[in-house]
Amino acid sequence: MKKRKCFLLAVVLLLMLAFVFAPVANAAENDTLNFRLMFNCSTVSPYLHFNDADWWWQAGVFEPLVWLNDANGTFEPMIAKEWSVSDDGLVYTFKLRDDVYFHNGEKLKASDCVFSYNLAKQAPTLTTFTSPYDKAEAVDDTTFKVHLKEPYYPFLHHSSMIKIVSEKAVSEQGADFGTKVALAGTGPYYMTEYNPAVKVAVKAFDKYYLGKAPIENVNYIVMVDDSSAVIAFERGEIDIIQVPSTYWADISKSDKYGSKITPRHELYYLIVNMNSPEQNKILANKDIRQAIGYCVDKQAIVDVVKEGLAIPYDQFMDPAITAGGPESTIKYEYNLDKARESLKKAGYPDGVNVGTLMSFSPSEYVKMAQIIQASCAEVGIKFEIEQMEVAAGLTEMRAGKTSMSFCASTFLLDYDYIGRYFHTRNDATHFVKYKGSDLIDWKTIDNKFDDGTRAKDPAQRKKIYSEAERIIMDSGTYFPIMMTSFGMAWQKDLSVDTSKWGAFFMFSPYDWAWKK
Amino acid sequence: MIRYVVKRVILIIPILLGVSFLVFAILSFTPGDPASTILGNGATEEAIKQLNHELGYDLPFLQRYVIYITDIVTKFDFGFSYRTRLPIANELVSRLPISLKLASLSIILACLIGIPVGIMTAVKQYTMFDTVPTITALIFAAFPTFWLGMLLLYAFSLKLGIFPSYGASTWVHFVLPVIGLGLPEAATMMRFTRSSMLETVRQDYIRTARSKGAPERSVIWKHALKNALIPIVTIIGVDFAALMGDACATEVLYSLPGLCTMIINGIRQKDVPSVMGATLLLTAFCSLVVLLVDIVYAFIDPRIKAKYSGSRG
Repeated sequence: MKKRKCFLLAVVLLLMLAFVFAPVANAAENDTLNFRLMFNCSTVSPYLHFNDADWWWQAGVFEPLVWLNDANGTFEPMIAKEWSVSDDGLVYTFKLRDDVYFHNGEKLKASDCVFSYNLAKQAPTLTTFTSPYDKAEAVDDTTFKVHLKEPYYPFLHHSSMIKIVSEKAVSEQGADFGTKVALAGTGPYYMTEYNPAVKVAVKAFDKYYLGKAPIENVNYIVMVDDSSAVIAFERGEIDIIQVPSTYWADISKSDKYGSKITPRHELYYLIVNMNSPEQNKILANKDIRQAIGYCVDKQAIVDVVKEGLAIPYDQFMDPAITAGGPESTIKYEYNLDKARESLKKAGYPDGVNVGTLMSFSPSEYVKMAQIIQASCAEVGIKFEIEQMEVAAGLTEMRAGKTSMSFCASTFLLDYDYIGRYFHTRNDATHFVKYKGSDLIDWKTIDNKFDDGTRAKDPAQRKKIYSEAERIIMDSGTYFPIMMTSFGMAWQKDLSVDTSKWGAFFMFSPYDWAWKK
Repeated sequence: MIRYVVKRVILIIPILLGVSFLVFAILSFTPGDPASTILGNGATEEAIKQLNHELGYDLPFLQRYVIYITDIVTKFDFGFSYRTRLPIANELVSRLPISLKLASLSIILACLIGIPVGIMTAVKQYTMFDTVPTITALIFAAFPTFWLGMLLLYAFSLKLGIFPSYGASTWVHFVLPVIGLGLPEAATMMRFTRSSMLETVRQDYIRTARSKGAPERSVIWKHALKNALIPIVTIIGVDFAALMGDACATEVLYSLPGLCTMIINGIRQKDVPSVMGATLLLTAFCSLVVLLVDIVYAFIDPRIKAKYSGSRG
């Protein structure tokens, strides 16, 4: 009896062991690519709120009329094969391809574009892109016209952010659109599974107008933790990954993987609030603000915080690829002697306490704050570092309650885009309130951003925006720190065409294939 | 007994109301609003207002709270996530089994290791069989969960290639998370069992059993353990409930979409309905587990059962 019990127990244990140690199915099946997402997804709709994760997977599913290739700042055809703008700058006409199908099998018509633009106009997330838009019209099935309220030359940039969806597919889903699998896009992949906290699965679309994608299935897998994501990548469970900066040096040097650094157009900057009431409004003194600007050791921040996945930056946008982007005339290099001079000029040669620097709680911001605090201390500028969660911190910043803070923003490649950070029409959400202040020539800034959108000639636009940037930089309220990059790595058995990279979040798996 | 259970179940209602009001108030009165978080740092004021209005966040705090509670009570509607716009109830249903699986397997592992080792260390007090497990338990109890989890991931997933590093689709995916969460818990369980056993074996009735010539095995397993088990059952119940809400690091590390990550993401993104839904579910769960523990008491301790029976009459 006892022996039989022992035997049964042994069998059960063996079965359990066999079950537990059964070979783990290789996630990277031959026809399936696994792509890591750093955040939970938030929506299927390209018009609702979105985060980086949504951008990544939607790149292969939804397409705009034209694609902004930010590797060189030019536009390339997508759903629209050609386009033109009327002489008065009020009407944009798009000639559409006649071989574009939605994932539900319906052929794309200009009326779908009208539907999409009207849908985008209602979306709070797209207000910036749709604000100049008045109405749209379908001239015929392949001709789509957009009428603007006034001439607005950055419009093509904006239209590259508006994805086209199937009127039929979206209408059928009604209010549920955005929350479940939708066959509403025209991209090379269609959705098969949507679980925002776990994964989004897509499959190659047979009727894609440029031909079927070489990789049959793509899984976008949510893995929030960087360390475990890198382990999954090293194990081969993930095929392509945006490498966390701390791991970049090791992974990029390894001959087991392919890798490339590609621009992200994400600028980190220091904000100094000239209206802060702290320390008897000490930051109203421009020389003190500028002294702080000279204390920002950008290279040290790049080295410590981003470990090479960024470059020190002196202006808001890259003039080489930004429409209307001027070369900045005022720059704040790290120079403690200049900082001391500015302090002396401000009347505080022995140093001054400027209050508090609010840092978001993620460690990279805290490190940045500590680096600046250390160099400021060398010239006698003192401040405390206060940490806050991002949501709470942003609210305090928007309320103008912080003295100094950081932020990071991704800019669309037209200089008009940064107008929303400085034009006083959006003053209520600005971190430094310019409107009504006698510390800055805010009226000229407003006028320049207004004029810039109406100027057709690119050189003229650069000139106009140059003056706006000069005033902002001189004010010592915003100090660009660094422009970040994506460090992408992939398994060696994957052939990745990187020629289109540098594109604005345009990592579509369409251009990738498994090596034979 | 039934009256007692019904009374305890009814008492859960004010607990839930209190917790819900507290969490709702904290989320509402801390700076920030969902639209600002969702729309990012370049959003216009109009867009923020429009989105907050769409989400119903522009209503006064009390009105929002009353609507929220009324919807739960009358329609069992927990609202929808501000971020994903998916019904919270669906998300709870999909996440609860993962948290349950993780917590229950971890507590089983903790019991399987902690209780026998705890008994052994108590019985063999001041010998090598006591010292070594006690020191080991101290070390494991001191391990931060995320660190142990990372170590396991590195060793058994990356280096040995035995277990997958992420996901929750099969039981195999739960092996490392359960070990990572269960081992520190086993250490706690072992130490508690040891002290409970030591206390019991010094009781008069144990001495009496020994003096009557009862075999040592019988004294330990029949007399001592049964009595030592009562506080251990409490610890098992309370720790099980705690593990449901304490597995944040493990869930994040192994990409397990459980209730803890739902709360963490919800707090970060000011997604009030997500935080509320998951918190209420965990609160209800904890209350029920504590109730269950009290009921189990009656079965393992005749004195308590007798007390219930007595009060009935």
